[in-house]
Amino acid sequence: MNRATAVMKMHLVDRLTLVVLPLGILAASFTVNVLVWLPLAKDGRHTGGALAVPAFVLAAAIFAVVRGLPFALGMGVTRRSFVLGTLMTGAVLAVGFGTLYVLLGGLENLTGGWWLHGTFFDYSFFHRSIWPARWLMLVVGFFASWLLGTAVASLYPRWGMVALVIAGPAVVLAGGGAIALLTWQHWWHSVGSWFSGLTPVTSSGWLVLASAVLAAATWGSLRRVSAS
Amino acid sequence: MNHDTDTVVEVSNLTRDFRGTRALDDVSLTIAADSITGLMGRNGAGKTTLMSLLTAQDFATSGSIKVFGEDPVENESVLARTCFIRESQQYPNNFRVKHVLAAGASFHANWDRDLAETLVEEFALPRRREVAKLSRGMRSALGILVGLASRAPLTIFDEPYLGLDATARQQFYDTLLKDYAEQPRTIVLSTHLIDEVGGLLENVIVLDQGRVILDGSADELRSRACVLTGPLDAVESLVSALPVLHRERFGGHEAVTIEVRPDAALRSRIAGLGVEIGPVSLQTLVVHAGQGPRRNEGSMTEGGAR
Repeated sequence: MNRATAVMKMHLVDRLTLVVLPLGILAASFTVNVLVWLPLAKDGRHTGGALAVPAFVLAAAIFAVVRGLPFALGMGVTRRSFVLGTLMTGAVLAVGFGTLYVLLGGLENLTGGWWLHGTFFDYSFFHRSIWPARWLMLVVGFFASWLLGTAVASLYPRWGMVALVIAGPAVVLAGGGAIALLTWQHWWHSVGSWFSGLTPVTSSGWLVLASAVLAAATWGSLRRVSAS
Repeated sequence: MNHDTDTVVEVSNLTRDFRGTRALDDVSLTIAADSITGLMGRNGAGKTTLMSLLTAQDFATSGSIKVFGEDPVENESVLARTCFIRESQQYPNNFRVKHVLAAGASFHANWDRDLAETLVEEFALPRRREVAKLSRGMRSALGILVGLASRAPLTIFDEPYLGLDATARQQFYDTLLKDYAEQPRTIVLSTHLIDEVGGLLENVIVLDQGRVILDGSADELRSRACVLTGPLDAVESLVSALPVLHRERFGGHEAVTIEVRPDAALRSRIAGLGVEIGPVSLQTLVVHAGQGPRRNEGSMTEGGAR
């Protein structure tokens, strides 16, 4: 545990990638959206700009594994401690960003969408559950995007080019196959109602499941990885 | 606890295959506690593979490895006592020199802050500069700093001085020896600069095509051979029936390295011939060992060509 904490400290040194850049990108995205909202009709002021941070968290996780692992192994850290410390880092970031989003969502609500009726953080979807569930969903969501990054970053060092060559087309084929199946069976309506039936509580459940799968994929790849 | 505490590394019948190539082939060796061992051999001999296996960064195909008496793979108590600095050591994203120092201190229980500070000064490392922006030589100096200041009971350096000038390399050797005297530990140093580190090494292991071809104390290896220097004719007549490792001619004189102990018998044979016996360089021995089983004049290096 001690050494996992040291791994977390090692990751958190890179505050530029983990904190400063995501917040900067959030601020930039928010500013651009406000500028775009100004001339728009009141009901058009929705945006997915808040997704910039989870996307950035994903990329940061890739860096953390690819650049951090060789150094940590050289310092005599076990793969177990490295993975644990990397998960802890993701958890810390997820709590931080999740809390920030809930607070900014509250502020957005209070200010009537930043006095512009805009929706950046506070989607009506979130109001299907009480705020602790909102917070939980955001935290788990950020954690899952960190883990998606660690899982992707772990594939290459463990399985080599083959993994990427197989994984890329596999994802495309699976996605394409699913779309074809849904279209063929006329299931789109059910999918739509499944999604519209989600609440922050049920979404949290699915994100927890996704996190577990991604954490298992990360550990499954890194537990036998060779450094060079 | 049932292992011999005088032995830190114990490798038996270790083999490592990489897709059709055998990087290590049935290697067995031990490394004594509190010693400095030189790991030598040509490029591709298996040195880095061996060091990666000792620190559990890689996995053996077959055979066994014991470090501090235990299997090192995912073994926290063993690995926490190791530090492995690679030729092109990588550092985490956006790390500055000061971050490397902090991380080194948090990963190594024996980390010596004073030594680290001294080396930052000696190598003139800019504390606030990003590692990615350091020169090749400075990056090497940083790796050396981490390895030395870690004071890890098993510290391994793999060719750590790429781009480092002769003065800085000498600083490395001096600091290593000085700090080793203060805090004995087990150090493994892989290197091509054999003569440069010759004085540092207590033990020498030479790998060739994945096999151990030489393993012993540096002094013992050196005592196996000597150099005869003197007038061409006198030296030639002396060595005609002896195993010659290396020949160098300058004018009417010759220096011939022979695989014969410089004992009393040899001394009595050269008496009155104007020939002198000198010590052999480690490099000559290692180079010769790397040339395979041929042990006569046919294997002479270019120095012996007529």
